Amino acid sequence: MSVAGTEGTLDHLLKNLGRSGTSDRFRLVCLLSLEGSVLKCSPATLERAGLAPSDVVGRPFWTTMWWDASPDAGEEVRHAVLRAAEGGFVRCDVPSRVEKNAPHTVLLDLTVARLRGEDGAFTCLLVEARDVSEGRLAEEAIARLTAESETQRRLYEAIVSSTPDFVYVFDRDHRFVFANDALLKMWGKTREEALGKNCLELGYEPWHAEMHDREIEETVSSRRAIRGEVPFNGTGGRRIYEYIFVPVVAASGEVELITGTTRDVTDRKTTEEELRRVNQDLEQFAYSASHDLKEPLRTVKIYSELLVARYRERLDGKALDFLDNVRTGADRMEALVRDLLAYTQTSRLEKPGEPADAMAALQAALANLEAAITESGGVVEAGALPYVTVHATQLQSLFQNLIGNALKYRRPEAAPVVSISARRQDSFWLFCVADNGIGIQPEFREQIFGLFKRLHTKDEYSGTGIGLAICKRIVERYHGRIWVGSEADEGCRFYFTLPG
Amino acid sequence: MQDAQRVLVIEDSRSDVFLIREALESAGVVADIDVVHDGQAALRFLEEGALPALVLLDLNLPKYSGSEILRHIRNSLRTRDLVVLVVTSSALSQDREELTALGFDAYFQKPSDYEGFLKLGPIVKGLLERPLLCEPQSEP
Repeated sequence: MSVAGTEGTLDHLLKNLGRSGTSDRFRLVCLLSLEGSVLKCSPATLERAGLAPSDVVGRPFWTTMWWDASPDAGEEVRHAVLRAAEGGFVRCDVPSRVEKNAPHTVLLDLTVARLRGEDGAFTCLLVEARDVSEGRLAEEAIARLTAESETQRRLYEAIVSSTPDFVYVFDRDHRFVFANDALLKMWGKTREEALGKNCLELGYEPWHAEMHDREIEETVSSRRAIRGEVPFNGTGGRRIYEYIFVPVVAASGEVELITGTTRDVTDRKTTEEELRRVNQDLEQFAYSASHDLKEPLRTVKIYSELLVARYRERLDGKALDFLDNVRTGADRMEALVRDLLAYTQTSRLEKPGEPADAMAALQAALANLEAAITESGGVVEAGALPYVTVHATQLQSLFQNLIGNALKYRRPEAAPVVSISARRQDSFWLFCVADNGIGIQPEFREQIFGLFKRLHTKDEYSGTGIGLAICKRIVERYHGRIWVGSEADEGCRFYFTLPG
Repeated sequence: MQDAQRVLVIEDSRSDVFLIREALESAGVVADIDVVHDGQAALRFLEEGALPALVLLDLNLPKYSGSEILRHIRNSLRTRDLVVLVVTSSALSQDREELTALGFDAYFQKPSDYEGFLKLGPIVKGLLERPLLCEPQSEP
């Protein structure tokens, strides 16, 4: 088969078209019969493919090596060729193998067009294809990135719209530019109604809107997050909210936007409030109870005293013993009531204004313990002591209880030696009251701080079991800690921390 | 000879009434002692009974508290100048502030020993022997 008269022109055409030009991107140029058999291919095309003309000429174009990389490619090319033969200008993207000896494929932008002979009749088909892989790759990458960011956006949107917290964004003019579903629901507004408005325009009370205006400005100028708590009447009634405004800083360093998150803390607040009230009631109860207990005790004491004073001659030894027990019991109960009162009163004092001199507090405690020190033959020594931010009377009470214990729980064969020291520990002072007494077994070192907890019978050592509970309560009131050292040597080391 | 002065004891505890009598007796106080045991009886006595030279007032009482009775005493023309000695086991600060505002003449905190309780006697004696600053007003 020949294409008479056009041969020279076509050869020229093929030669020129077959060149890759400045780039080495693959280009395919072939002439086909109207039935689709290969008539000629450009030399550059064949050369690149590593094919001889005889490998392709006379074969249906769609069965050539270029389309054997994928089963669909040959079929697609066949359709394209046949449609072109019927008169269409066909253009499509087809994957193609470039070289005979390599599996590497590229994406070809393939066009097929009919060519007319000099007589004006259609004589053959011109196939031209260019490698467009890179362009397609870039497009694919963009499409993939777009899809990814879309996925991210949907993910964030799902998170933000499913959280019960309010999530929102202010612009620099304090207008809402974003509000999640929860916030819109609380407002009872649609997104269209709400966005673009500031708090005042959304119906917040003026004081509330002004407060947020101030906070947004502060967030912008300080470039720091700001927190707050505020009640608000929304569609769910009056609730208490905790919120945080966070600046979004642009690359320029300017604050662009302010994001906010708000959480409904009403239930937590209510629980806290109830707990506080219950505690207050309990304290009031303990205070009143211990106070009212004093009255009948007084009667028991005085009348047992009167009984002994006026009827001694008429009572036998046993009756006097019994009466002695009555009075001992009453004395003990009086001590309990007194200590319980002291315990409940540790939380009654106002917050301290002035720092207290620990040395002065220690000396006041020692003055009260003078009798016990003399009686036990004890020695109390102290290093330099700091000023601490607690009530002087409570600090004195701490020393008095701890040193009093050290003197009381002494070993029979040794005079008690108590040493008091303090050293800095961050924003606190760590105090230590050490003694050479009988010590405390490790398994009891926690429970001794409990109310009414005792390790000895009243006959061994007197006491109400309230002293260390008072110490713990005082220390914890100032966010300090109290514990017994775990050193295995004899005696006790009580440690406590106080702010200073 | 001067008539025995009247002392009204407002005290719900019978054991304390006994101690008060002992304290007055041991201090040589010669007085006619009227005793009421609750707040309501106290108010009725103050309205209807013979006015005493001195009232011994407990604070923790049934029906009306001691401070309510003191308010009543100070608000009534008939009783507002009565000499009042608060006798109580409590040292409650909130009561004390209120009582101070109303006005009382002396305060005795009940001790838990017999000897201590007897110290009430000289205080009562002192209050009864205190010279009047002005003549008692006749009732309008």
